[in-house]
Amino acid sequence: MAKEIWFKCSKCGKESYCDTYFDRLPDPDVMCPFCLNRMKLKDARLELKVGKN
Amino acid sequence: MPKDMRVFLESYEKAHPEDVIRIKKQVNTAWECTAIARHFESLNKFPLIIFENLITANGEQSKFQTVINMLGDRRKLAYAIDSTFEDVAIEWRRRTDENRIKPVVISKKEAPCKENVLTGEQANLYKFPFLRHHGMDPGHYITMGLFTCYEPDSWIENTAFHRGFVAGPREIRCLLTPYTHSAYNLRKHEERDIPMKVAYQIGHHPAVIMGAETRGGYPESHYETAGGVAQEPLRLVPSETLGDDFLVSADAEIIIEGIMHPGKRDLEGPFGEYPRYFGPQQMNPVFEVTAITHRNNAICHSFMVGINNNFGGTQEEGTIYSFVKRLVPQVQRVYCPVSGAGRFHAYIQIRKTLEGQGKEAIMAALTTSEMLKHVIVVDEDIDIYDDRWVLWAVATRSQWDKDLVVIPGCRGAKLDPSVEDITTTKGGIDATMPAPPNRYSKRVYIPDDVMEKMQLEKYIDAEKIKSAPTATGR
Repeated sequence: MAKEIWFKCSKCGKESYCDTYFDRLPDPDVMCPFCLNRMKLKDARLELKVGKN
Repeated sequence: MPKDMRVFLESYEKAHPEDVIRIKKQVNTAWECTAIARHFESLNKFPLIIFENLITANGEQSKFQTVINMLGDRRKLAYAIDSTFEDVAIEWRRRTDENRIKPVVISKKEAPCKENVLTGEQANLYKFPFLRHHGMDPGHYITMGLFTCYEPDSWIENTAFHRGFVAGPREIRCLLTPYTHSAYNLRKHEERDIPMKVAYQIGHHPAVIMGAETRGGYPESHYETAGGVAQEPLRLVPSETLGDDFLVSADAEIIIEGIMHPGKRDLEGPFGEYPRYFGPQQMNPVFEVTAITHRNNAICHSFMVGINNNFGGTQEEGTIYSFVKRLVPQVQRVYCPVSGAGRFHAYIQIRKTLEGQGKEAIMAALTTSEMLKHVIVVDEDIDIYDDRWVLWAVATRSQWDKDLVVIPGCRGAKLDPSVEDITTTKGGIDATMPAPPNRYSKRVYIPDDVMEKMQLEKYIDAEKIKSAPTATGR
């Protein structure tokens, strides 16, 4: 089970993450903590292997 | 004079001037204060620091000061409640459980927190020196505010630490973890589709904070436990914008009043949390600010989350002690070391009289909180405040085929990155010697009278003793 969902800011290009329950929200936004840019998670999501297993 | 933050600062600085540092050079609230705290932590030091010259989140010179590390180590916690390094956790818990004192209500005219009342656009959070803590935090945070709300049926107040992201001049997004009493209160308001009146209370005497940030039943008055730990009734005063029945502490430095509208959520985090990792971004309740009141020359207070976990750890110790004591009365001391982020590890010292008590202590302790993962039980001769001796006991008094307890599938701490989904594996090591009458190999020793006679200072210059490097020092 992943611990978090990683995403990359469409404006500044930096990476961060949100909680896995965002997958249960309908088309959620995320916010870049570095530049505060808001974007759709589906557009910014990084497909990475996350967690220990 | 009632106990407040100023009374504590004056008294502590007088008693321990070596442990209070005033920084007069200009420091930015974004990361620079936490950088200083981090440097001190690398020296294993947690002095109380007063930043007197700060730049706020909007780039302005702050009119106010910020204090960090006021609850930074158990010596200060002990000083705050007139206890000792060893006894502070147990005494804190005892006063919380047995010594509750009802608060008193005073008039607004008498209340220091009403010296300045800001409403409308005058209420601007960016004027206050809240800190931006870590590199991936989205902004400045309130970390040492007692988040206050009321249970709607009993109208009993709840106060607790909940981090608050200052998202605008009059907007704070607050993490109310689902199983907290604040979250229960919000859920009740939302089920009725009514807004929840809320406040942050910032800057108080550590004893008041220790009593207010207590873990009790639901709903139970936190103002009574605050009075209990401080050993005097807390002075309360009606709010400015939330009605006369919404009471706040009259002697706090800063009060932020507001409303949480039902169902309203917005993005908050990531935030550098107590396990020393960034907790993920979440959708969290929005605190819409209706007023800020503050004392003249208000002193802001911030907590060094992710740097210093001595407050939370000491608080856990009292809870663990009281749980274990019911099953194993031979428990002597409990310590939650910083190596476990103050929450995940507990060392328990017992005066063992019967076989099995070590494992009983492990099982009792592991039920106290979802955060506690690992317990090590040791004998009375082990200094539990020093990891070296606890690990020495593990090395020389345990055999893991017999002394290890492993319990998979327990509820885990959400912010522990090793937790898969919501479950964790808990465990413990019984590192005690056999109970009497069984004997065990004797620890090496030097006769007591010789140790007493051969004090270093009698033979070696004090400066030379002080300057000799420690084995682990860098």
